Amino acid sequence: MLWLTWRQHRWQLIGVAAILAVFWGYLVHLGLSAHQAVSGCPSISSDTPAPDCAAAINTLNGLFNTMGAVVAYSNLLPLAVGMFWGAPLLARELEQGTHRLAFTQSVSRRRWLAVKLGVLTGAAALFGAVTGAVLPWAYGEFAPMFPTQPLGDTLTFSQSGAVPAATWVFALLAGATAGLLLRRTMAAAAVTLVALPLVFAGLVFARPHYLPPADRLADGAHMIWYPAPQNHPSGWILRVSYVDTSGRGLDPEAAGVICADPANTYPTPECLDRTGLRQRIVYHPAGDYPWFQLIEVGLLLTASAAMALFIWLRITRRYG
Amino acid sequence: MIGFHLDPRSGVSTYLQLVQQVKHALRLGLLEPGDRLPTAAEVVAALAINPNTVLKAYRELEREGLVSARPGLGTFVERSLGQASPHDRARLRRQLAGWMRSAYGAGLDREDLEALFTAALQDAAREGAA
Amino acid sequence: MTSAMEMSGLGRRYGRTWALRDCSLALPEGRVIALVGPNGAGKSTLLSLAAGLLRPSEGTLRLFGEPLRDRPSTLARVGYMAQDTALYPTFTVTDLLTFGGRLNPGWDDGWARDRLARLGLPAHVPAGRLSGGQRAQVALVLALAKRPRLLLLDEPLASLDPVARHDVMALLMEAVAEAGLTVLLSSHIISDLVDTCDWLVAVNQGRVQVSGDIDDLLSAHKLITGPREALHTLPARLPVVGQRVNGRQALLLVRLDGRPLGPDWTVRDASLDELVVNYLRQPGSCALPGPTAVAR
Repeated sequence: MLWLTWRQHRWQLIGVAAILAVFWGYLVHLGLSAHQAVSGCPSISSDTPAPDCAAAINTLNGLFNTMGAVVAYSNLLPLAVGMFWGAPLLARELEQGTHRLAFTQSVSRRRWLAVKLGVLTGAAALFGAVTGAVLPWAYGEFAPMFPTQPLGDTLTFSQSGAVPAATWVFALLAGATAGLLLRRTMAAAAVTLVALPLVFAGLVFARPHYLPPADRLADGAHMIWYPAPQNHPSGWILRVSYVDTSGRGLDPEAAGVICADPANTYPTPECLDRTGLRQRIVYHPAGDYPWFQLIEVGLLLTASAAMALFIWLRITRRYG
Repeated sequence: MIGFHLDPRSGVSTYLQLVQQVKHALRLGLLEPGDRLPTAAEVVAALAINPNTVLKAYRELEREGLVSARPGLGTFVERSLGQASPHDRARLRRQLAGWMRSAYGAGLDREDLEALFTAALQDAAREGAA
Repeated sequence: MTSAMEMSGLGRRYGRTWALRDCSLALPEGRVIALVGPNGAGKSTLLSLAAGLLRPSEGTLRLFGEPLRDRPSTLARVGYMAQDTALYPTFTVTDLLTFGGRLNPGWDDGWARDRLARLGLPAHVPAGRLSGGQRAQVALVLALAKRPRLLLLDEPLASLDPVARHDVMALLMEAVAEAGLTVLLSSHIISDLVDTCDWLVAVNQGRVQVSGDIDDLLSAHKLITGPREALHTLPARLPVVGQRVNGRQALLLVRLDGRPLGPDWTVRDASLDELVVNYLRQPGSCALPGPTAVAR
């Protein structure tokens, strides 16, 4: 049965492995190059780096942009898994009628399905897990100049830690389920191509709501610069507003009017000290990153398990 | 080893054709006592017929005492048909071939020969030689 | 003796249509069973149910006394060849032999290789590029090499030329002779089945119409011809399977039970083809072991 699974899926596995080898290799290259640039300029994290760091800073900027593009494109990998591994998995058998050959040998349907699904799910999880380890490492090499943390970055979060493994497994099973229901490889691939991005977009919208956010008031010394990046060393910034001395909430424009500072549209630390305004930050602390990972992985794996169960019951219950 | 062939249009059932062909071979001396008949598997591999038909034919031959089945070994010829010796049979066949040559030489065709021969057979039967 | 296959009230429904309904049958072991019937009668459905590819909507099915189970020991007993000879298109003959060997503990690899070589089938051509006849031969060898006790063939000769048909049937008959296999094969060309099958099952409009030993059926049924005016002279309640009146002559297929028919009627043996055609034209008639209900 292992032989059959390999023989039927060897090119899919080899193809994706080849693409991944290039992908991971490139990530490693980016990370090592960043490391080299950083080690050539020890003062790079300070506000005033040394003048001879100019070249290093340029290099790092360029590498970081490339990194961003690579991460963005890597979000397409689950689509490939869903369309090229998942959709044909069952649809091709049903379309070509070869299930009639497979089910009339001496191997039970349970074993047939368990090995086929097991091997491919395992491969998806493994490849996803390696991606989830390599990518954050590469990002980490840029930390001295770009102190990001994965919680706040939408695209990076999906490719870090345990989430890619769960995403790939989900994509595989989604494609397989579409294949089982539609019984046609092309149609299943098309449906997967449309459905997966919708699901991922849904996850992106749902993500901020996984946990209730934290809420803090900051004075001038502890405020964050507005407009604040979503991705801040302290965590994932959701909303920034201001509160005046009587406790009334103000949006940043209104607060800026109160500050009446012609040089700045929005309040500065000096203004907060002067007027007694406070900044209200709604955010998810960086330390909550593991929980977010856990919740997203849980959602994806629950859905995956449901689909796997559906496939299992449909295929194995043909006997009385 | 005897090779069977079937005529689907003869109106004779398959197993009877097999019986007749074995008897025909016995008469011509192509099969002699002690020879092994082909196994059912060998026959059906050539003719694409049901093996039970072959077994039925062999059982019929066994019933007539012409063959006997030895378990594990095969089906073997027990006795020959007809009284004439192979020597006599060969002589008579040569004589018949000579007669045919002269008949063709006289301008008769195959159907004339068949008609003559059949008429002569009937004459012989009427004369009580049967 | 256990029946090779026993069906009781078996039925299969697609939505609201019943492809097969209320089928009860007992098929003996060691026979070559012809499954005949018009297109859409339910032959493929019956074979798929027996092969475990479909689940019955009602009724039971047992093979060699046991119900179907998703277990290697039960699965090994049945071989199946699909109507469109399903083979993995990119697998070569060598791949298919490996496939068979890995998925069947009872696989006879030497026999399979020998037969494929004898049939002259190329070892390294993908199955998708073989001709219909070659694919049928490969599929048959695969089904036989697992050494099943029951072989189910869905229209195995349909896409074959006469030479390939002969070769496939010869291969099958040889396997029956060597292994005491029970074969159930469907076809709508009766002449292919005449010399090879010894049991007949006729399925019509989703129901089993005929099931019996072919020799017994042929000796029990006769074709009688006579003037149409003499129809009323036939014995009352004579089981008539089919009847046709051409101009002044009447032609009937009947089950003779020894009663005399009268001087106007000539009697002759029916051929298998005539028997089947007459039954299939009269879906209400049946010839089944046990109480028979024959329409006049």
